[in-house]
Amino acid sequence: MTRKDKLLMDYLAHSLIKDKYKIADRRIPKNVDDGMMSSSPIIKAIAHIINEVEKYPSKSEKEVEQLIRKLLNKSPL
Amino acid sequence: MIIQSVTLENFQCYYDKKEFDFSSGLNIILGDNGEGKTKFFEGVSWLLGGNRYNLDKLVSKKKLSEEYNNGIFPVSVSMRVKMNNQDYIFKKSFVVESKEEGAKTSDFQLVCVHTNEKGERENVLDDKAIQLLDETFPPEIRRYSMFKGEAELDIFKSGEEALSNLVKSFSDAKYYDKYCNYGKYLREKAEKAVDNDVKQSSKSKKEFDEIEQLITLKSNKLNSHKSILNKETENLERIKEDLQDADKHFDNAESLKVIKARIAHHKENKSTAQKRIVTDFTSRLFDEKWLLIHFENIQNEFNAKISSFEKNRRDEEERFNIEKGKAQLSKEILEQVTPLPVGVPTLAHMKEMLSEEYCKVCNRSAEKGSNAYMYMEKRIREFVDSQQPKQVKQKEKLYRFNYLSKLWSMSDSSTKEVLKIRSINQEITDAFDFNTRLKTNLSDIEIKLEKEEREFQKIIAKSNAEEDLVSIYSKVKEWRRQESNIERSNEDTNKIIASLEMDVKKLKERKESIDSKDAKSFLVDTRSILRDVETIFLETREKKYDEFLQKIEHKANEIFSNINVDDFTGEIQLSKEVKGDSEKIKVDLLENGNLYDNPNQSLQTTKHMAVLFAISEIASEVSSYGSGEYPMIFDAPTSSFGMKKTMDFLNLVNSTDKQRIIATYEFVGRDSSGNQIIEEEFSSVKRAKAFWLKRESFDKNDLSTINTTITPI
Repeated sequence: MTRKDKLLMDYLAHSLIKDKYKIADRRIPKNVDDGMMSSSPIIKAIAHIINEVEKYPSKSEKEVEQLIRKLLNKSPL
Repeated sequence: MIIQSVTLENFQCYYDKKEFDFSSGLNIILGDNGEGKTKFFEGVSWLLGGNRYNLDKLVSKKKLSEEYNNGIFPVSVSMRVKMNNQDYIFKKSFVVESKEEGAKTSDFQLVCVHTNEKGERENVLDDKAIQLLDETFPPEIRRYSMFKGEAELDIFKSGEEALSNLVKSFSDAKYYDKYCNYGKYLREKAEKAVDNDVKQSSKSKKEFDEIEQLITLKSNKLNSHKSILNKETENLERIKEDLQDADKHFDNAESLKVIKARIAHHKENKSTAQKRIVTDFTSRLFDEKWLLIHFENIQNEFNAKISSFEKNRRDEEERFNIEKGKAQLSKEILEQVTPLPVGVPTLAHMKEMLSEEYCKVCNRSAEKGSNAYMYMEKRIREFVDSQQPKQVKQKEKLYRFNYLSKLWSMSDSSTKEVLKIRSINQEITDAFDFNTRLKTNLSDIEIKLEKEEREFQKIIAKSNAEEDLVSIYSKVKEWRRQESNIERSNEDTNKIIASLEMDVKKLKERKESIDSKDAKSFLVDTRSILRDVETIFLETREKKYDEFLQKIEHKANEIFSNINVDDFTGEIQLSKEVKGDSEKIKVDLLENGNLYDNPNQSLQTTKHMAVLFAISEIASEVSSYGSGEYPMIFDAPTSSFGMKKTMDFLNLVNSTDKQRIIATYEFVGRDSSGNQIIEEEFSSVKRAKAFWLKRESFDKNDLSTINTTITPI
């Protein structure tokens, strides 16, 4: 497992994912690539953040924010 | 990585070249205070990262004095290490020119000779050598590998950097740090987007602005009070620490008092013992009395002579008295007189008989002029004479003076002396025994005295100087007052904070209700998601940090229970303390789940060592450093342990089978002549290698005579 995927798995193991967003285990992606394709906006957002932050050189906060805001504003909850 | 050897050349007390040939496993360096343990540690520290300032302070004074007048010589510390089947020799050195005004030093140079697995050798200098040194023994590892004294073992005392350094060095939790910043930034931007959208709407703009202003105002106040609270809490902690230290000082002061009394007692005993030991032993026993040893024979001869004289005298006197008696008897016989007893008959009868001229004793007449009459007259005269005070007639004696009694008197008085003289042999034996006992006693006292004086020095070293204790006493009262003031003030601040937080919360709820009414729903949704993302990032990081701390805690407790086999059975608890933006690690001791207040220094040291060994084990698991294991070097880490616990501790360290170099003054004692010895107990300490540091005989007022020698034990 790459570090990116490990990070994603750790974040998605948070109780909010299951308790608030009601995402079942089977819908939890196993890697960042799958996460970016998720139908869940929060999973998608986290996966994209990881993908951008782990790039070398990593994107700035502003660049990441623009990408994520655009992505979320388009994705209904 | 294993340190195979360390060589110090003209480095401080290490004159010429001195080599420690280490082994993997436990290496113990024994040495009394001032014999070179710390200088060894400083030598290795200087090699690994020492700067180029004050190099003249590192020069052996002995070498410098020897090379007086323009002599040139090198000063260096080199370390031979083995890692992944490759050899590295790192040598840091500079050249000293001995001048009249002192040492003139060159800049130092770091050289590394690297021999790879194939036996190929390369020499690198300076920056490249530093790079190789950092790869071999990474600075992150070194930070947790070398410790001077007991105080340095508490790596978390230094503050907030300790945790982040630890995580950065040895935990994957570091990868989660930066996501917290991204999460915060994204959430703030989303909040701002919603706020801007609401402000564009005219419906609730005024109310919204008011609420926002109030939130800003209250939040500023809240932050200001929180900042005051943090500052005051820090002050309070410092004061509490000072008070705790003061308590230790008080303990130390109390201990000092006890030890001082014991030292005074031992000194008095020593002085008494010294006085009682007879120093004029020879003259007193031999010159004064030995000559008298044969006096008894003379005395016996003397007595025999007196006895002989006495016998002769008695014989002579007997003979004389017989002769005298004989003469008297024959005279009386010749005179045919048998004298009547004087006074019989009485004077009146006698006078009556004379007047009547008749002897009533013989019953016959005694006319005047007759023999009978004259006889009676004579008797009257004798009688009258007998009534007169008599002139004592000197009895005729054979010897006029009794010299014998004088001689016997002399003999008697010398007989008493003879009794004394007869005991001279015993007295000599007794005196020898007594002196030997006194000397043994004196030596025991001196050992005790030395021990107490060392204990005294130890306490003084712990509590800075004796006079510091006095100033601490005077500060304690002020600290107590400050402590109570801050606690009261913090209580008030907490109430204000709670009230402000409630206000801000209510205002935010009002703001949220306006948001959800007036802002575009997708912006509110995005904000909601990004709020959750921030929470997930923050809490996951917390979890990762906690997991890492738990890992250290678990390992530390395993080690702790091994070190404290017979002692404290509680456990170590590592927790993170967050204050504002700073995070600190707290290391506590728990006893049955409750905080164990004020553990003694030995327990504190054990706790810190357990944590350090745990970190070392974790470091060896971090693959990025490649080497697997790293040595640890401790200078006097167990000063508060005492011999027994140090033995147990060293045996435990030895059982870990990892390279540890530990310098200690334990096990170095003195014999009755004051010479340094290694205590017998050291034979029970299991180790890979041991070295004994001793200075060659030196003049304590002349540093140029100091030269530490290394003796493998």
